Amino acid sequence: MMSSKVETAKNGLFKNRSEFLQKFLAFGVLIFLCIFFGVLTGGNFLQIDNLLTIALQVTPYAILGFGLTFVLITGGTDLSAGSVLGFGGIVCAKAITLGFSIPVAILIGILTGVLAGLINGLFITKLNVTPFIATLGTQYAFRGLTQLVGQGKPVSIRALGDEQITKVFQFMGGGTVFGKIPFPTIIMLITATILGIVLSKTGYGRRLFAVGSNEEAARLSGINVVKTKLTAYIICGATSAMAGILLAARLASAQSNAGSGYELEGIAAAVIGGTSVIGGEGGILGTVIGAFVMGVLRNGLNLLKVDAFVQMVIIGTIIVLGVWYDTSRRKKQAESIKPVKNCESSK
Amino acid sequence: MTELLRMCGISKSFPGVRALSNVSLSLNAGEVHALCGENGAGKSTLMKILSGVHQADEGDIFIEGKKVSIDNTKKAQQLGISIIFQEFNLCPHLTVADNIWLDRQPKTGPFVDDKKLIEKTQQILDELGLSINPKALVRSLSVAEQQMVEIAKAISFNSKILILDEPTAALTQSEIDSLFNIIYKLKAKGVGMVYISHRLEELARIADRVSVIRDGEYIGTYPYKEVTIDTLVHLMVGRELNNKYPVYQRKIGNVLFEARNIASNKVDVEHIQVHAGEILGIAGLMGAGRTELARAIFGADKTFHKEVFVDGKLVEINSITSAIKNGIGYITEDRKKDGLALNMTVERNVNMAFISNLCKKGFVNESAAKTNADKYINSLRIKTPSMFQKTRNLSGGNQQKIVLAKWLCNDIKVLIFDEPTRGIDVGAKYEIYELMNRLSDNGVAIIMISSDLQEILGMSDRIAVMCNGRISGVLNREEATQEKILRYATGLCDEEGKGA
Repeated sequence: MMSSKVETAKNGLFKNRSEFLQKFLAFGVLIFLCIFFGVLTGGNFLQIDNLLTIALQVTPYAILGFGLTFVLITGGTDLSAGSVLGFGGIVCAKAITLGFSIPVAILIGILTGVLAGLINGLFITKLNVTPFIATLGTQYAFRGLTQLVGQGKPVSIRALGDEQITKVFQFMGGGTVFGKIPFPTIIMLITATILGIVLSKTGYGRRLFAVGSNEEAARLSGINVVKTKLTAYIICGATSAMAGILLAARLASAQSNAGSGYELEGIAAAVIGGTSVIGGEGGILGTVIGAFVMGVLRNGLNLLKVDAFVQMVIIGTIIVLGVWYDTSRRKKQAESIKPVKNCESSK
Repeated sequence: MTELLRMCGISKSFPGVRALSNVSLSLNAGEVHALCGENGAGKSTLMKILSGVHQADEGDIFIEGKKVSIDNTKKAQQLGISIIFQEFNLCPHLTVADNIWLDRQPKTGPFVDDKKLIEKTQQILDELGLSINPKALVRSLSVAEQQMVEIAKAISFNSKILILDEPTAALTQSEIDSLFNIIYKLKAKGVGMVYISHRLEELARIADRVSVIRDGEYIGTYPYKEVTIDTLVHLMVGRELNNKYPVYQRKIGNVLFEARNIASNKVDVEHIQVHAGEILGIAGLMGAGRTELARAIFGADKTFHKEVFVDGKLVEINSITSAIKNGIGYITEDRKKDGLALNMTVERNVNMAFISNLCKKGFVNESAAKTNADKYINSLRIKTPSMFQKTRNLSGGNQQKIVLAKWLCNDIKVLIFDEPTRGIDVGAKYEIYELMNRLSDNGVAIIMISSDLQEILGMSDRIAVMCNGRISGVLNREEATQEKILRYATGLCDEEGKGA
């Protein structure tokens, strides 16, 4: 998780002070949680192995959260992300069992996600269905398709009987490089860097924030709102499928119920990291931190042998507090505004 | 004749604006009292004070001789004051009966007594001579019928004082007739009505007295029979043009922009043209279709038909992108609603319509973006602590300059200003006018929509007046007067088929 801090310095993704404060706060919470659990577990929590386990565990949530960050910035939402995760994973696994090479199968899996995102985006931009309803519907539809592909059963790579393929696939999902760093976490950090740059450095990123901040103003400035939003949903579909493929790879088997409910984890990660649910604000780095906050909580509570049901209560409460903090901060900001006095009016 | 209402010396200020100063109004039982004034004169503010939406800073309100304070809308309702706004406050998914008796339905125990509810509703509808089904859903009714339901609701509160704000703005002639029949009935019942309307000719049919407000000040009250429309118009606008506009000699060139046969749901304009360096003012009352015309030209709204020529060449404008590509820009009426992204920085807003020009292979050239923002912050003298300040924190005048900068980045030939100085202070206004003159110096053709007649007269080279979606008259700078503009705007005279 420390690697995310290094990234801050490198990319300089903070755009202004309030954003910095928000991330600083999320980052502070993360550090606090680490120390808190470190002390309570007598140092066990801070063992390198444990921290790397957390990094591996948060990877799919974080990747899912990246796409959701894009969608949330437009002021939309994608409730189908968890289903697309399952769908992309199972299509990729199925492609491997059908004899496609691993790179081709991954491509097919990600294209599945792109297509799913395109469908979501078309419903929302062209048919004007509200994002909540459109993606609630497709959540069911994509889950159904996932079940159809797997015919209700997991698609196992191991059952193929090809040692080599199983090994390569499993390495993608859970192997380590440079000693003990999980491969998927590397993928996650690379994805974060790329998408972070897209958000902060490209014309597309600027358009995305403009659309989310004031859609009509953006439209009247000649920004193609439909294309901008559509792209956000496509990115979300692609990252969802990517998370699904990594998850399937770790188990060498794609579960047809994989990713169920993950969309909410992804949204929570984004929101804790400072992405606004009403659009116009957000960033990838925050989502990385947010995902780690969730992962650290879960892992720490496990180590403390907190009852699983109690864990759910705690995590749920934290999500609500996170959103509450976000909205109250925004409100305070809006209320405290005093226009800069017009100097020229005195002349 | 008993006096129902007296408002004395009412004053009200909003931050930076004195909306009303020492305004008085009285209303007798069974009287229709017309309230006249230009857009923004303070009529609506006065009525909002009467109905408890706003509270007066100074002044007293007496109802039937007793001094009252109207702290909220509930209190106004209890005092028998009902207001029918231009925008209705009905629940479209509920029935007529439920709307009229909202939260006051007759009940047996915890349950709504449907039979009694319908009965009571029918009684009121009969009283007003309305043939509306009490069980009909409000959304299935026409605009006129919905208005009747609003009136019925007011009657159900036993309102003695009824405020009608532009009630005929959306009605057809026969609907207006039936509205007036109801007004006659209410008069006979002793209800006093304050009636706000721009349609001076129809006031003659119902108004007993008329009061005029101008720039938040009370001008006078007159028996309607004793004033002519001409005196009324003069009273509404009659002020001297003071020197608020930069003196400027414009150099007018060839026709730069021309549009023919613009037809959409809301506008029907045969011809409009603007020369290089010229400012064409577009005047008209609210709802005359001025903004709709601008949006149609800019490709923001769908049109059935339109031919646009820029620099003498026929161009196809079917989207905002194509409008921008052909050098047309549009500065919207409400900069907060659709002009700026308030949560974003000055730099991002200035460059919003210019992003694609700042990109290389999809990546924004940040230093070019900063240079560009810096250039306009300096040349337009935008007062901001830094280009990374959120636009939300700037004053109205500076926000307006940012919107302007957004268009100046692009190679703009035709620029439409929609209410360019609304809500900004006098000093900043003057600066905006100077910027408009600078643009005209550079040969930009400017279309300026404004509800401020002084602004129209002070800045325009020619003035097109709109009424009901059409251009009802075109005036040269020399011949234009406020009276003439208002005559065209209210539809009192109409030179049909004349283009701008």
